Amino acid sequence: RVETPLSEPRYLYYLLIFLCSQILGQFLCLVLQVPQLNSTREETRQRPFFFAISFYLRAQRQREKRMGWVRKTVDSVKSLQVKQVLLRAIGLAMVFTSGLILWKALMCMTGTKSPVVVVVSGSMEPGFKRGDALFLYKNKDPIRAGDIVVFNVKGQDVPIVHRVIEVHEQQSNGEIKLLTKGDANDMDDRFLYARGQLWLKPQHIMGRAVGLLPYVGWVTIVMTEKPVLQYILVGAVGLLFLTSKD
Amino acid sequence: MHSFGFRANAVLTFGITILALICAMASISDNFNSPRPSSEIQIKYPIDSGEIKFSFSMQVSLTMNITADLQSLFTWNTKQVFVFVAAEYETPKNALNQVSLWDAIIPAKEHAKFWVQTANKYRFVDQGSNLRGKDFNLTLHWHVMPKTGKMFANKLVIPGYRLPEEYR
Repeated sequence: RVETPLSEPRYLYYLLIFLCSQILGQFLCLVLQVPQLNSTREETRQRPFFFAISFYLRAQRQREKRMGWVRKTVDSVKSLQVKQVLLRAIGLAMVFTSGLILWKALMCMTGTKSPVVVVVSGSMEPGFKRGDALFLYKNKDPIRAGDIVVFNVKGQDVPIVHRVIEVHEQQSNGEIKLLTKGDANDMDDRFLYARGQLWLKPQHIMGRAVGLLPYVGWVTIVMTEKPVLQYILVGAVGLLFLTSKD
Repeated sequence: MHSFGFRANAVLTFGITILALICAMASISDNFNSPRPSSEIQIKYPIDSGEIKFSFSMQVSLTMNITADLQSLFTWNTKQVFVFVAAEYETPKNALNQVSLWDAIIPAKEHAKFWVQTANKYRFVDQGSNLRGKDFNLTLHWHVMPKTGKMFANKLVIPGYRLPEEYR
């Protein structure tokens, strides 16, 4: 399986679409906020002029005023609700899309499909502990001994973070064979590779680890291992969205 | 505006932003450190005490005397330094071969100046071809793993080693 290069024009199109959606979102917010000025002007026009003309007239006028006021507030509350919900929905959508743009931009900059991974096993201790987040980077530089690489074994979806201990580069075609081993393991990784596979090739490598942020990966680990917490988190965010005043 | 939810949100956001900033600053401070490590590796080439052995599977075991001073690599943001020795050589089939022979973890600055005499931890065996009479370089690699931030790696190449023609 050949990896497609991440500098394809497809990613520029995504970026363009996201930028347009941001501009559209801002425009819609502005448009929705304008009518509020009209309704306040109407309210000021209805200020009562004659209080003491006659009891009947006063009562009638007061009745009309009260009914008008009730109807007006009901209308404004209804319209306000729709406007507010729309505004908030657009605001949320803009936050989502800007998060997506950031992620895609990060993917393009680092050259890998997952610029950040979380360490789940203790095979690189004490350097990388379980729960650390690693920043990956991939460029055309060949992989050499000592690089900490992240790779996927065929058939497994949890990537493995280990160090390269052997490199063999062929004269004829520049093909590279790699062998990896975790720092805390005694054995090299041949028992982890697919059946009959003795070496890793550069196309199996997702990227090289270049940076580390400790403890932040625990959120991901806990949410992956107890899916209940994902639902609780989404529910809490949804509740906050619905009940917040701004 | 003053509900518990808003206050918690504001505190969390501010706290996380400040933490991220501190981690970035810690990582940037590592760039101001200019390390000057030094090392020497001697391989015992015995006359007949059999310390370089080729076993039947054309595997080499050798004894190395490794002296190194890596104290200048440590900063306050360093968690550990991973050091390993690799042999680099060329064969008719492969333009470059790197095989790791020995590695160690240095957890603190006090342990960074060391002398170690050891046999190779990992098998020194080439795919297929034999290693008799082979010229090779020994490289001492170090990988500085920080508490947070960017990792640094570099190496020192010591050329001029040669495996004997015959095996004992």
